[in-house]
Amino acid sequence: MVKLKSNDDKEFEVEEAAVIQSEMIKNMIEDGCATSVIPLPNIDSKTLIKVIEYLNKHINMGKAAETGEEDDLKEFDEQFVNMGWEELFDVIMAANYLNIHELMELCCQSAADRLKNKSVRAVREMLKITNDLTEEEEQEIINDAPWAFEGPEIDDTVN
Amino acid sequence: MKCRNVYTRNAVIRGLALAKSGEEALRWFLIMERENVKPDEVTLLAVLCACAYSGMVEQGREIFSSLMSGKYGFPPGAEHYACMVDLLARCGHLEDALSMIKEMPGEPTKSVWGALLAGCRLHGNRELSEFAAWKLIALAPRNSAYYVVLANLYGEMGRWNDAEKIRTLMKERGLLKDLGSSSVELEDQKDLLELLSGWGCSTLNHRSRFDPEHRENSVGSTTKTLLGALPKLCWEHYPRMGPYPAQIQISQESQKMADEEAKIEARPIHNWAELTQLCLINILSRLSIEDLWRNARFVCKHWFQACKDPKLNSVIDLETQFRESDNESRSKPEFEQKIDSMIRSVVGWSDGSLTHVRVKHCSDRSIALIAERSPNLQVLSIPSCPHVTDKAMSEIAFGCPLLSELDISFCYQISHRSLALIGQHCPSLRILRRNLMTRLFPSEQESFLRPHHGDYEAAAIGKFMPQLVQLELRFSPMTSKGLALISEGCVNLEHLDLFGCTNVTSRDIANASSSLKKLKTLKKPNLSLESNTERYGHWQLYDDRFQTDFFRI
Repeated sequence: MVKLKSNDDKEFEVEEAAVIQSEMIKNMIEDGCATSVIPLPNIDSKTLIKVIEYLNKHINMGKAAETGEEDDLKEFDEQFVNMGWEELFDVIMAANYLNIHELMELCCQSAADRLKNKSVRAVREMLKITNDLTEEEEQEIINDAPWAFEGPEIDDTVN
Repeated sequence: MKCRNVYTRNAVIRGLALAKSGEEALRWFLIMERENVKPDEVTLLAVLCACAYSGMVEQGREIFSSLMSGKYGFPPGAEHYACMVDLLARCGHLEDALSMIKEMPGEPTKSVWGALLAGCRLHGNRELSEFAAWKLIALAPRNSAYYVVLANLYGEMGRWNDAEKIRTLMKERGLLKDLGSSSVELEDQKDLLELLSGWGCSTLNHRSRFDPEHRENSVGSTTKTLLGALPKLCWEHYPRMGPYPAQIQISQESQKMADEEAKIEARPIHNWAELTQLCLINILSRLSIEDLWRNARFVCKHWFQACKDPKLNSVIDLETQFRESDNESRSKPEFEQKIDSMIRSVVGWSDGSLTHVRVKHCSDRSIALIAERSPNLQVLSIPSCPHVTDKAMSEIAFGCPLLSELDISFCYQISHRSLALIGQHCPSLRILRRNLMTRLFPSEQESFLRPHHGDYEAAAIGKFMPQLVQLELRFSPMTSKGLALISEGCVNLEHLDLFGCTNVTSRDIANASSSLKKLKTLKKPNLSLESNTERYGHWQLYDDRFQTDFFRI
């Protein structure tokens, strides 16, 4: 068992087989740096619980393929990324920090799927990003590198 | 297993080494010797690794000395030395490891110094670590990791000035450290202060909360305070700060302040504009080119910067955009200019990494620019570019040696000369599309419809493109002569499309397909008229009856 500690001082025990899906922790264990609690100063307990849930489910990826549990795993993944933008952001940052390749793929694909065909305005609103491009700068982008086509309507709805 | 040889043994020993079953690995090694299977370099490497991973110093030494004495019939290579250094250094025999390096013939390699460095770090020998790290920097001056190790080392030794010097050196050499997150851990592990240090390119996580100047100062002073207060420290990357004073007395109050600051720093914020560039690029790389160009790059400055990253610009594929039917405006010069601007931007942003270009209606200038700046180009698909000439194509031949797929259909200013040049200079070319149209634009392609012209092109293909696997020559006016040259020259062809090639007879095609042994699919001049060909026996008789619209692609 490996002990992880979130930035709000909560400790979690995770099976080593699950936790080594994180390249970072795997390296720490290999280097013998994981003898006591591993502090994760970038991750709060809410996010860490999500990540551990994922790690536990994906503990034996290879086995799942053999026993035909792939569909089950796929369904879990679908349910897993069914979260708000803020939560998704936290999980992506955690996956990036812990270097969990599969989780990163899953979350980034989910983010991309939601951004597909969305207008600039919709993207900004969904992700609460303030536009810091001036009108001149925007015009410059259009002049230097115009999109050559007349496209169909873009989805302006926010969800 | 039926066949037990040195390779299967090597695999077993290596596997056991990785599983840290050193003794088991050694047992197999001895079995191997007993069975008179001669160990090779790989076996020795594996067994030494096994000793290293399992801390079996004496056994390792013994094996190495018999290797030195020539027992196995070959002298130890640099890898064996590296393995031995790793073994000794891991187990704390650092002096022995160093003398091993001094003894080895030839210059020590990166892996040798790397092994020493890892061992020294493990056993806390800072002086020797420093020595090894400098050696590594000398051997691999472009690898930022060694600089970081060295800087951290100086940090641990309290030599902040030297650490700063390393960092300056990195900057001078234009190296960037990957964004790293560092933690300063207090002795009782209750208080954690999170610091972000990225040298040069970092997106500070809390940029919006503090202005960078203020933030850095406050974190710096907090860290100093904490460092001064507690003897046991653990960190990976140290924050930007000045020379570290030897002793700082801190009061209860400043400790409290530090705690407060630490709490503020550690509070999470969910700001998508602050997502690290690497993560953002990961997400954006999953969007279509249309989404990137019409939406993502206008979201904010950070996103615009990300959209210009070479990783997102190694491919420009506009094929899907051309599927919609709006052909009229596309033949206008303004449209060509827009496509040119897009290509110019992507070529610039790709920074030499451009591999795929699939466009239409671009100009000669764009092709020349691609040729000049994209040495890694693999796919060039530019059908319907009426203004691209042999001149630009010859530059492609010289500038893009990795080209494997080329589509120059309906480009009527490109001739057999380009085909010859590209065949000569791009040995990887596997797919060629050179389709023409029937008499849709007689003025433009008049000369192309002359049989001898088709035969020139066929001759160039047959002579200079022997590696072709797929060839499309729809409506080529070549004759039986041209087809014969292709079937003699391009013996690797698997797919051949001769739709609309009205100057070749079915007998020509039969001859060609019999000499092309690897052929899997063959599209004949017109499948629906197949039965009639036998009656007339000659395609040219049929030429007059073709409805041009029928062949429109």
